[in-house]
Amino acid sequence: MTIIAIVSQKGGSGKTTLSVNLAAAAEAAGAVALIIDTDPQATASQWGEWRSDKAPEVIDSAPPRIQAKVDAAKAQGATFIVIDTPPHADSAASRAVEAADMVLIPCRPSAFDLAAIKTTVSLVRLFDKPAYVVFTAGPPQAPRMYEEAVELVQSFGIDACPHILPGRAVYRHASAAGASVIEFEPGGKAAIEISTLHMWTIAHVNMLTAPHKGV
Amino acid sequence: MSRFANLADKSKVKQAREDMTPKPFAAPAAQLAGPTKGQPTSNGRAGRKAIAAYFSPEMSLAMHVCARKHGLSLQELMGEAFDDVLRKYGQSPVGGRA
Repeated sequence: MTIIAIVSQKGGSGKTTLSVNLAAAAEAAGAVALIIDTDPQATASQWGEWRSDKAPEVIDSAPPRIQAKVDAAKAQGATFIVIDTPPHADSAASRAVEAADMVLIPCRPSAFDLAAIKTTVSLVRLFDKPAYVVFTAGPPQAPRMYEEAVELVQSFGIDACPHILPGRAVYRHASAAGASVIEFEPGGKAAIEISTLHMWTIAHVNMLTAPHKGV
Repeated sequence: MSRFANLADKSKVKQAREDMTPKPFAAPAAQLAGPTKGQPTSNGRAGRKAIAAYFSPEMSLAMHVCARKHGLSLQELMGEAFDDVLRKYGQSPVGGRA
């Protein structure tokens, strides 16, 4: 059972895109995935409606009910839960972080966006949860730029995920069709990138939650 | 075939936009009757006034997290803070949590 909170106080960072595609990658890898949409704009729920609730399913939740829904979903067989949160929402974000095994903070690799993640970083610190910045919507090939972005992120006291999700048109096309990038363009670059991120996430959470022997 | 539809707040059969009203405020009859024993009192709006103010995102976050950590609603926490500040300035507390 893996619970991932997708949190960023900045709008337009790719929270919902990451949420639905990460859950779809989990489903494609054999998990029973569920997306909990806490955003009043209900973008993830809209995506779920467009695909007629085909797995991975999307359910909505008011912030105070997140934990109860996670527990209930677990009892109903969910093995991978992604909690999507709205920007500028401290209540939803803090409840999601509290319920999660790991927090992913999508962020565009730009100075404005990077500066704005400080608030999100302080939130995950308060709850002492492992968290990683995932660079989204940036250029696919810009090693120097990503190096600098990683350095900046580390100066905030948080690590960046080694896998980036560059901006690709297929995300827009897939979302509009109520699909994930894996369904829309199997074997495409975006599909490979999100699958790699999913595998890294699973491996990382397993490592973090594995019982420590001799402690 | 929906596995988790029972967990959704809004019925998936209805249009998602149909009920956008926040749940605590959706029962005017209950509000008019006033808070009853054993029910949370913090969400009732009847006969109350809103006090709004703008703060930095850090302040907002700190207040939400503080409330959460102590199992309070933000309203209860603010009520407590207002009572504290009234005492600080030599005035009688109003009973912020009531």
